[in-house]
Amino acid sequence: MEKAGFPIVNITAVPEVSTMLGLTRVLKGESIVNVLGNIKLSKEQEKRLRRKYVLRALEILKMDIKEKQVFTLEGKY
Amino acid sequence: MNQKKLRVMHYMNQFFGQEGHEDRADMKFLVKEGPVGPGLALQKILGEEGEIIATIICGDNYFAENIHKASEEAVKLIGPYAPNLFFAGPAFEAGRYGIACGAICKIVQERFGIPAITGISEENPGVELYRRDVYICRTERSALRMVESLSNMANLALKLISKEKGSKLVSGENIGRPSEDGYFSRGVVKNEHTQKATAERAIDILLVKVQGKPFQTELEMVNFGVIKPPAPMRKNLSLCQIALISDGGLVPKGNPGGLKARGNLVWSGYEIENFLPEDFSSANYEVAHTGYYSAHVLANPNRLVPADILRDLEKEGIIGKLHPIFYSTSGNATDYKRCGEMGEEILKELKNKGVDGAILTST
Repeated sequence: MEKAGFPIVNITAVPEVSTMLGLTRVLKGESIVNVLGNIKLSKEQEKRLRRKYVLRALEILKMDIKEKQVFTLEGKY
Repeated sequence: MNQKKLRVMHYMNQFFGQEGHEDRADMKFLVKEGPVGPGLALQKILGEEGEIIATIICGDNYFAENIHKASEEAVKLIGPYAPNLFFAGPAFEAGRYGIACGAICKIVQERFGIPAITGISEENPGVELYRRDVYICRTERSALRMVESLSNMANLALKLISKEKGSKLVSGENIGRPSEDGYFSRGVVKNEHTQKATAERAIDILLVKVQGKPFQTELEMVNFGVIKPPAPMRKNLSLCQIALISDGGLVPKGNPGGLKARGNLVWSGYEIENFLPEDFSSANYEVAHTGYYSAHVLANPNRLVPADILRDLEKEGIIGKLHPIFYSTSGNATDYKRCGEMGEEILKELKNKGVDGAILTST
């Protein structure tokens, strides 16, 4: 999809695999088995965390980047 | 070996086809009966095994500028000759010619189910474009090594076609490793019997490696190349339609799309409204993916497919729209090439529906 020029962000706990494949917009997720959640949190806290991830992903989709980059919730990797 | 001689066809460009130089690079296809130019040497090498019944010739520019169209035209011309073996080139370092050789071999083996072999030198773009699809013999850069290159191509072809081990034409049972048989790696992993167990072989390689000596890996990693980052979504976010995709294998109970838990080759689209409503029930899902522990996702699928958040953002007007279909596939020991095709297929749907951007979650 990226090769065709379509903006897409990949959320994964293993960004190394994504960048090896050449993906350019990569956001490091929470964990492999729970990309956008965390069982240590309450249901409400977990949903807040997930919302942060999604908003960050949308922000990355709006970002001009020159080369492939791995992002975290806070900033660049 | 063969009762009957193989019917062989040979492709070459205008130059080797003795039709001219750059001035004739725009020429369309032409078929000559029997061998031409390097085909004469190839005929000698094949000897009693096969007979070059015809030579198909095309200009370098015409082919390279119209790869798809030219390939189809070639198929029409080749069909009536009913060959059972096809050669192209060798093209050595000639870029357009190398691409044409790769393309014609690819379509010939697809359409006629016969082995199609070419020879190209390493730096030629034809190698990277077609080595996964066709057997490309490694040649030197210069055409001075014509006979040697043709011999390698013929040897590989005869091995491919040989039924000695009861192999079918394209099963490749008789084919050695790329380094043994002089062709470019096709990225294929084959089972082999070995005397030593994996752990022993791994230690052997490691010991050689730490001594700084040359070693040969058993599994070459594919070079995936560089992708230019796509332009970002330009519209105001509040106008953007966003799609959700995941390779984590989340599907409705019963897996109606038939996703495989390992080595999957398909994707499925599900209406989010039905698939993952606010009041979802965990009992309605399964995960077709053996590569991760899926209990957390099954307990709350939003952890993989954040439909809950996207729905909220849509209601709040932060995004324009959540695309109503969720695209699911399972990425676990999946074929790289097929993954690319699935991406193209899903993208086609997204573009048809005016989707502006997508979030792909991976496990």
